[in-house]
Amino acid sequence: METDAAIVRRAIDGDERAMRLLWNQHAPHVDAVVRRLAGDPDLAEDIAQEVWIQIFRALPSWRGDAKFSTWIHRVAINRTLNALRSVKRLAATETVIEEDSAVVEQDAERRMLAQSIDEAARQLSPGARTVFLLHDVEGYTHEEIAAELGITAGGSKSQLFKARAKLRRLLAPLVEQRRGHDGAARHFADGYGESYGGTYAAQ
Amino acid sequence: MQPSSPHLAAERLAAFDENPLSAGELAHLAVCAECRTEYEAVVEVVAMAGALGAQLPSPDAPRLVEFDAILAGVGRSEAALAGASWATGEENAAATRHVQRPGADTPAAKAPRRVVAPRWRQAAAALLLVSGGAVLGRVTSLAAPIGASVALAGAGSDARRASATPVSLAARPFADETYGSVEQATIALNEAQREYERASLWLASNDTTMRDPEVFRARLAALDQMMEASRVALRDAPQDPVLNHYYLAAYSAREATLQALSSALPVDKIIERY
Repeated sequence: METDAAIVRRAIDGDERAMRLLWNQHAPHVDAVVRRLAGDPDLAEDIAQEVWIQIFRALPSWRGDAKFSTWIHRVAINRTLNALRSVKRLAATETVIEEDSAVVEQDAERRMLAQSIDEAARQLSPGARTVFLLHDVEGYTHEEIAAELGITAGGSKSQLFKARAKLRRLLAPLVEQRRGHDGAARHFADGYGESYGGTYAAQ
Repeated sequence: MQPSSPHLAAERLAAFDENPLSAGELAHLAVCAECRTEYEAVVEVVAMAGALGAQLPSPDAPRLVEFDAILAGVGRSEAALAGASWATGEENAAATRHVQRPGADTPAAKAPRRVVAPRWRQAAAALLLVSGGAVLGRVTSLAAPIGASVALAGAGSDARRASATPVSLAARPFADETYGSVEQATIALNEAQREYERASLWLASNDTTMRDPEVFRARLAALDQMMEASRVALRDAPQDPVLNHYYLAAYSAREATLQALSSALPVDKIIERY
């Protein structure tokens, strides 16, 4: 089986079949990243082509020191953020999250975890949503987010905490359902207790 | 046992992993069921978000964009970067089959390379500097039409003379130049692009007016308009090398201008909008 490095080399040389192979393998993942960060399906479609073009252009910068899937994930995030900036969707990065009491509707189809979170995240301000997705979903540090979005690490934290607090309200039904079903609360209570000397676990 | 202190704020609880709760806050949490519920809920939200990141996307999900569209986009970029060398129908067809620039069969061309060389982008930015300058009225004394930059591209070996005598260049009608073949026009275009590159580098180190953020903002607004106009035109003629060249040049110039604007602003300022 051909290695990622070999396929990438061929793609860099302009081999259309290699490019198609990379696209076939990674499009579901890249599309998921673009969809999530864009928040809006139409916008995601608009910027997906540019993101892929940028990925193909950036292929020579993959050194092979990270897995190709990891690299392409990172590039996809970076290029999506660039594209979003260019359509001015991140202009209000530091704005205060508007208050609303909307609660994500629950129905059979929307109980899927990813869909519920995506839907709830769409109700955040663009900047807060991006910070939340980068930190809690993608695992970026606040320093990385700050560098990526041109804000301070403190600003990133502030946005994150506001986003989490709002999402907690928006996702209340889902949270209750999960806690009731799988005992997740007990799991986290135990974890909390371990982290803080058992104070809470003892209650 | 009743809580002896006010409830913990939602945002405070949401910071549980960044700013550990104090002893007092822990004590409150221990006796306040309401805050404990809130705490557990926000931890659950964070855990769900983490699970979302680890979740594998469905391979059956509809694609946001088809591969052929991506390939066409990559081909457009390559075509413009190759000096519009895909101007013929035959070469256009080749571009859609195999995204490879002419001469890519040579060993040197097979070596890993940056698909978009920074120097080309600088050249493209310089192209827009000329045309953008016309839009902004920065070269109004020359009475140059917007097409002057294209005339410059077509001027070929005249480009160097033209740079020394811009008035005559501005007065040159847009379509006055003729070429014997596509190859000849391509050579002329490439030569002019190298001239743009030199001009761009010179301007980068000598043009002190470029430190004014207002100039950058005005240019960005103009570039946005130019990109939009190019985009509309490309819908009708997606393979047109001149339109692609304009679009890519505007895009490159916009990126370069955003970077320049960042460096021109005070260190404590960030670009949020313009």
